[in-house]
Amino acid sequence: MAKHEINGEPVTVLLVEDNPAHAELVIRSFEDHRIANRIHHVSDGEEALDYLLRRGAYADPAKSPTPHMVLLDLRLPRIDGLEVLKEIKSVKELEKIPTVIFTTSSAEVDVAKAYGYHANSYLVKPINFEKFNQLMDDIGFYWLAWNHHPWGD
Amino acid sequence: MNDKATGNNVSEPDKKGLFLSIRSKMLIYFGSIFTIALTLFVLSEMFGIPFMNFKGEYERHQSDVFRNLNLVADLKKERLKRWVEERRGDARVLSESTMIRSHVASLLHLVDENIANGIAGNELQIELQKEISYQGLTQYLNLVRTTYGVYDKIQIANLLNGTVVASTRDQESGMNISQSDSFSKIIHQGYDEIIDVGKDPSSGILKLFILRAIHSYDGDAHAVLIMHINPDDFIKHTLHTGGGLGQTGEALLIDQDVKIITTLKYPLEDGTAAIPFEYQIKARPAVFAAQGQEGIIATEDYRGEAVLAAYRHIRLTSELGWGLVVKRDQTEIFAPLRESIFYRIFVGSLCALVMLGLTIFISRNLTRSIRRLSKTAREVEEGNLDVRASITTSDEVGLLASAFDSMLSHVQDWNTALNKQVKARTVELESKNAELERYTYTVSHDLKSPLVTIKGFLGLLEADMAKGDAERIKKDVGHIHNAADKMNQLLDELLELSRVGEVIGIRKKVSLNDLINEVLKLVEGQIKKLGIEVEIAPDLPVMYVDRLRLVEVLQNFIGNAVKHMGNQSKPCIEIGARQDNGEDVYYVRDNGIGIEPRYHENVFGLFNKLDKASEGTGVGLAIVRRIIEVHGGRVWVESKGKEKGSTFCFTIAKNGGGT
Repeated sequence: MAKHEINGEPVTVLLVEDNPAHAELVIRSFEDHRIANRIHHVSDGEEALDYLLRRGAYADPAKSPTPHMVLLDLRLPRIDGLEVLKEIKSVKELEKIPTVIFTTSSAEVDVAKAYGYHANSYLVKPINFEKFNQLMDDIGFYWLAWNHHPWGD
Repeated sequence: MNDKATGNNVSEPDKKGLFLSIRSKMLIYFGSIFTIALTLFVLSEMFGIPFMNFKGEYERHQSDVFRNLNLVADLKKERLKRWVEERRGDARVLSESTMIRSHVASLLHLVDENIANGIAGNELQIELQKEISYQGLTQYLNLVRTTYGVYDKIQIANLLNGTVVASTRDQESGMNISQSDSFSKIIHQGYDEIIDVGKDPSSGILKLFILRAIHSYDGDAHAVLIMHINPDDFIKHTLHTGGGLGQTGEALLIDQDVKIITTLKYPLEDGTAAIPFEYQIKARPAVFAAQGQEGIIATEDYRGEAVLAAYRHIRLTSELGWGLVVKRDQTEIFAPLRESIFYRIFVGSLCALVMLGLTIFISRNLTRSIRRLSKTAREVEEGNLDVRASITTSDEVGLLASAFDSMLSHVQDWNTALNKQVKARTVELESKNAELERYTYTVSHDLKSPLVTIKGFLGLLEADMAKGDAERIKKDVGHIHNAADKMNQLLDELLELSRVGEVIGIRKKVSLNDLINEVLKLVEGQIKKLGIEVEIAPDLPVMYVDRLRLVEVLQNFIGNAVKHMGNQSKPCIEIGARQDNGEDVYYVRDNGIGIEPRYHENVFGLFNKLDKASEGTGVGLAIVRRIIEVHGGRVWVESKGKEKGSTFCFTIAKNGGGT
């Protein structure tokens, strides 16, 4: 499907989520909606940065294609989500990657900090499953289909 | 800015009403007291004290002058009276002298004959002058006149027809003086003697006359002796000798009709000189004297000038009396007093000036320290607590200043202590706030998280059930179970954390070594399994703590050390104590995986787990921190980074943080 490719590349999403259950919810939702053909799930901030900066286990670019979107949880072990966001937005090669905060926290501080570090979007995980599903669908359409990517379509 | 402006306004002294410095107050008070006292003093000295027997200088001076006037008036009265007596005596001596009587008798006879012969005027005069009796008589009269020097002239006239039979002035002999007032009085009124004043018919000059009848040997009065006295020559002299009346003093003599007998010292109000025997005085002393009264009076004289006067009545004969007034201008009398008032005012003003100077000097001296004190107070008000008044004067202000200074020191100490306390409390509050924030955060984030899982997998479960995918159904249910358990665990731990402060039990003295041994027994199995070597300092102190809670702390530290040993080939845990800046610090050190410095603060945060794979919810160290805090201590971690091992340190307050 054309939807799964951008400029012939497979659409890649980096999911940074420490809660395996949540990760599975997201992945299954994406699968059901056939949004991305490559969802890479990392479960802490350090691993996320390793992936993005191609360090350690992710040194090989083939293993760590630049994602079309980062779906980032805030509360992460080792390196906090906000730290990861700050890092992404301060590295020239990464700053253009649409980074969507996806968290259970609706605290004003978190929202303010996230936008302060130039998050592209801030989404709160809906408790209601239908809404969760809908949101996943919408994220896929918005960021991966409708949205023009910084490195050109 | 606005606040500051109003703050400054408060310190302005002229905020309410008129501001008077102590100096001006003292000047006003002392000035008015001094002025009033001085005025009262001068006034009472001058005019006496009302209702008291203290006479002022004014009154004393006035009575002095009155006494003097009385003396002078009495003296003059006596002298005048004696003088008149003398004159009357003269007249009596002459009129009763045998020689004069015989001469007069013969001359009268001669005149009568001549008149009978129709000889009168100059012829009569010539006839008379031929007579030896006449020559002897006039010679005698002239002798008397020149001897006494009082009489203007002396005449002897026929009592019946007024023909002058002898006179100290020859040209008057033979003249008829029957028309003169005095002469007619003695004829018609039948008096033996008359003292009268009036115009001399021959010269027109005002004169004092003393008339006395000369009796014949038969005893009938047949001639009259007339002695003329110019009053201005003699009386005035008497009046004005003796002194004691100063420059403006005057004695004046008036007759029964209050007409002046002598000329006056001063011209009248219209500028003319008063004519004796014509000008009548209206002034009261003269009137009183003429009426026969005697006394003193302060009044106005004939000029309208204020005077002090003494008046006397001089009774000359039963019918005739004169008034005598001795007076002096008040202007002159009280001039010395006025002068003394002037001097008093001058001296008073000098005193006032000296007093003003003294007041300024004293008040400046007194207020100098007060002003310094208020300046200090103002500086303190502006927030500078380091200033001191440092006034060492040995008076009340000095006392106040030293009290102020010591108060300031106390305030400063309190302020410092308070600031410290506020700072400490602020830090404490901030940390509490942060903790609270973490707590809310946890509630909003970590508690929502399992809910999302549960609801999400319930949704998936429905779809999977519809599809009949048994494997997935099992997985979904598993997720739901886990999430629910997780949530339960979270809630329990949150509850526990929130109750740490309350559930700290009774603090007791506990040996740290005993506690450590107790904890080691709990994890004995794992330690043996991993082959961990444990070193415990032998002489750890006794602490004053809640034993169970401290066991929990140590269990956490030792448990963590065991859990995060990593792949250490010679795992080791060291428990001991050290001194940091005089503070006892206890530590649990391991040589495990270590913690990067940036996470040192995070590890004590709620639900912060560094290792997602490790069991637990991340609440353990948060509880540890809470327990240590409640025991009045601090907890922190030291680690040089990954694989460098970590050391968890804590302190405990000596009193265990209890109150």
